[in-house]
Amino acid sequence: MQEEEDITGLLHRFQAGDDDARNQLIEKVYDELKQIAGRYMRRERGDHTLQATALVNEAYLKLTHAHGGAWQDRAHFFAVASRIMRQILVDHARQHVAGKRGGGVHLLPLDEAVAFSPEKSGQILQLDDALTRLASEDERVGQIVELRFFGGLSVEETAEVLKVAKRTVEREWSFGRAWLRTELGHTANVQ
Amino acid sequence: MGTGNIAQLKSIFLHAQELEAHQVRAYLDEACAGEPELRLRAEALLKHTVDGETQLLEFKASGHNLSAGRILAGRFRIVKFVGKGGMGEVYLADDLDLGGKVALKTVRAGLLVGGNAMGRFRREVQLSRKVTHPNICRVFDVGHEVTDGEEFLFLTMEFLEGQTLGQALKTSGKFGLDEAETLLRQIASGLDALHGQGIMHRDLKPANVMLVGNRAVIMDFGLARTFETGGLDVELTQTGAILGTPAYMAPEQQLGESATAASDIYALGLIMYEVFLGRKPTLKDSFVPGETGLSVEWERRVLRCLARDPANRPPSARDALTGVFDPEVAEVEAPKPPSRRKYLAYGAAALLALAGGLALLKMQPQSAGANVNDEISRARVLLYRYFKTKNIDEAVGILGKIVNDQPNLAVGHSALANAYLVQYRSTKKAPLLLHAKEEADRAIELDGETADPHTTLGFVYTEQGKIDLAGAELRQAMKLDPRNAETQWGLAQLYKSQGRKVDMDLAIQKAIDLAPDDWRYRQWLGAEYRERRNFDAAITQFKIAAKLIPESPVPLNSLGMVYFFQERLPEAEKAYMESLKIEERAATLSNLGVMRHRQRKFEEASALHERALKLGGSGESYLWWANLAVSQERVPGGKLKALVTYRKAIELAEARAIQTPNAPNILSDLASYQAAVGDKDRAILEIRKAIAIGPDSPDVARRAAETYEILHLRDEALLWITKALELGYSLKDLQTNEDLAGLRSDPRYTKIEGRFKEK
Repeated sequence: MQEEEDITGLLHRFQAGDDDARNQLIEKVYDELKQIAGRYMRRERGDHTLQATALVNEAYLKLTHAHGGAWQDRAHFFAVASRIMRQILVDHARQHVAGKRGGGVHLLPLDEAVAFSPEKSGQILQLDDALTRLASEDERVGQIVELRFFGGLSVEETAEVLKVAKRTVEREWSFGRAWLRTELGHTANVQ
Repeated sequence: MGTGNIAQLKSIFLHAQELEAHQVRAYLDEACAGEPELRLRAEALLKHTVDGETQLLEFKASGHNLSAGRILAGRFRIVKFVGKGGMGEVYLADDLDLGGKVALKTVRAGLLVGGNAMGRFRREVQLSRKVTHPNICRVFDVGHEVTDGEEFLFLTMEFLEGQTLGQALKTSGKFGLDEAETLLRQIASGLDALHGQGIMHRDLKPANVMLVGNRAVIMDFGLARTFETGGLDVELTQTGAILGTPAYMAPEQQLGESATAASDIYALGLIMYEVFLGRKPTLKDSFVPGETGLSVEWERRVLRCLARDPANRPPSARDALTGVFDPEVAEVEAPKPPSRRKYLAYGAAALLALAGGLALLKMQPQSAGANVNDEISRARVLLYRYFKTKNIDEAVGILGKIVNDQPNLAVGHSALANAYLVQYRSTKKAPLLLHAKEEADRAIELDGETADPHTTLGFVYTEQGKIDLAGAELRQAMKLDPRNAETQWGLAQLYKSQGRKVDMDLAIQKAIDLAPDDWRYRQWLGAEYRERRNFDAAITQFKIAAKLIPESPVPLNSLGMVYFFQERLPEAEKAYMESLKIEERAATLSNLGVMRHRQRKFEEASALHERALKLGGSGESYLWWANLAVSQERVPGGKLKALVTYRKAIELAEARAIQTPNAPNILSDLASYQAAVGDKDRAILEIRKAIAIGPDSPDVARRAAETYEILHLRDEALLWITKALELGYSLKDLQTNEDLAGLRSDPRYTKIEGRFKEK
């Protein structure tokens, strides 16, 4: 298949440091991912954060028709996709927070008698904000969190993509995660 | 909140990670000397690695079958698979460095959810290694392995050959008195050794005691908590079927409190019982003294261990076996096996379904007259069916009278508190919350032993945003009645307000398990799924709810909404119609109106919205009026009518904006209505306010575009539509936007559209 060769070829050029290949890659991945993501978010489980990996994986399989290609290829693909995934999730969360249909008409949930829920704005947006702040002060930690969280890369894959030691990834990941948790304010502990 | 100095924090954090737990404090004293703010932040960070709850990453949960000959961490060679445990798999392995055989336990990565589990696990192992005692299984090392990109942990420990106490009990039944005493003495001795090192077992049970010849060895201590197995202990049988066994957990553990040595003593009590009697305590024989067949002395010892209040249990395992207790001690309380209430629940399912939960049985007061009980039950049924305002009012009336006549009847106050809460939910009138709180407080004053008023307080505090207080009340309710579905619901709402999605899901699921026939939990869960846009799951729940309470129009309306979201208009229509057939309710009419509007049947839509407003419902919300105005505007010759309706919407929206300041969506709604009536200055003022508060909201930007477009300020409208698209507003939604129809025909818009289409 033509596409398969394209993607793999691009991946290899990108790994060799070709920025142009990266941009082409992003373009190719974006549409595919957006389409899959849209489908998931409309119909499937609500917990998008946990699905990011599945989405990216699906896009990868679809674009490369790859089953068991070199794992390094896969890792680099996922690295590219993680940035896009983050953007898609954030876009979606923004729309979701307001959650209105166009044209100024509003649905009225009769079940509000049962469901009284203090309004909860998107955690994704908070996460995105916090991650942006984190990355502005420590780029690498930011990258690691993005790769692991939005791209679902394993420690090993993250290390490969960033060309650092596995141990470094583990350490920085643990810091990034803890920092985000304090920022997101999940301090209350009920049980 | 500022970000602080991340580089400095990171360095401290990483350093501290390398230290033993007891060294951390001293290190922080030094590293953060004179910088209290830094210290606080560092502590918070470290705390989040220890007991953080957020699940940022889910490890893949799957077993890993290690084949014989495989070498882990360059040191341990797998000899054979031994068995499966709750945590993972157990293998026999050769230690290639030191020689000899070890037991190697893998830890299913799925159990490491929470991210912090790894650190906690390591610390537990460090502690465990310090214990050397003949009745304690030696723990050696912890290792980390990656297979095909998947991570798992493993643990090496003393390899013990024999059978577990659990297996022995299963195959041979109870022990002889002497044999039992010897065995228990060993277990107690091991347990004391653990406690002496400050380690709690947390999961002591026959399956964790290995019998090696005459030696009893305690295994798997301290690790249970790392995996938060919850109230049920899941055992895998040889065939792989999962059996739920009543937990060997102390009451306080079941409530989620952290385990203490006393919790282990409780488990020891259960083992004593089982070793002597050959069976687990069941619901039939709740330790009726004199009926166990044990000597009075041993019976008292067992009961003493099983005291509900940890403070009343023996101070050490040794004392548990040797203590001589005063027979007059009244504090000893028979344990309540967790399954008891469930048993009741099934037995009386029909009654409970009507009465709306488990609470009823418990609330029947002996002292109150039968009449009062009947009245309270009637009120409860009315509340359970609270989709009719009339029902709620009637229930409040009944209960108000009861409380008036019998001011010292706790159950009356408790029921009334709940009635006020329900009334609040339907009307959102704040004083009702305070009434609910007052009545609940009074009920607790009169009788501190029932869960319901605490649960009600939990709801009230959650609604008021007093998270800590809500948590305390709900914990108290759980303590009093661990299997109260309503309390679980309360927890679910509390977690929701904190954004703790996973905990929330677990809690509502528990509520449903406890009261599978209660429609309200399904309804709530359905609404939750809908909010998450998990529409199929929402439909399932609403359908179940509709089946459980066929006389209610509520679930059907919700079902209609979901179908509408999914653009399944015929099904939405059907659901709305069925709902309206049961009862004509304002919200359903309005929703149907929205659908008609979408179908461009504006006249019909207006009529429906009008009828909805006439029926009243929540007449306070401006959206009802806005919906009407939007439809009226599009009916030929309806502009004037729409103008009047808009004014009403503006009036109400302004009131809301004062109540809830800084809400950009209210302000931008308001602005677009003001634009619609031609109040240009005010519209611009409000939309600017909205933009200042929510500069990154695509919806506010879209609203701004609408507002400017209505005001014929095309340049600004184009500017904001670009902004909205940049922020992620969907092009598709713009294409169906009525207010922007004119703008869409502008060639400049076509250009913008083209730019975003390319993306």
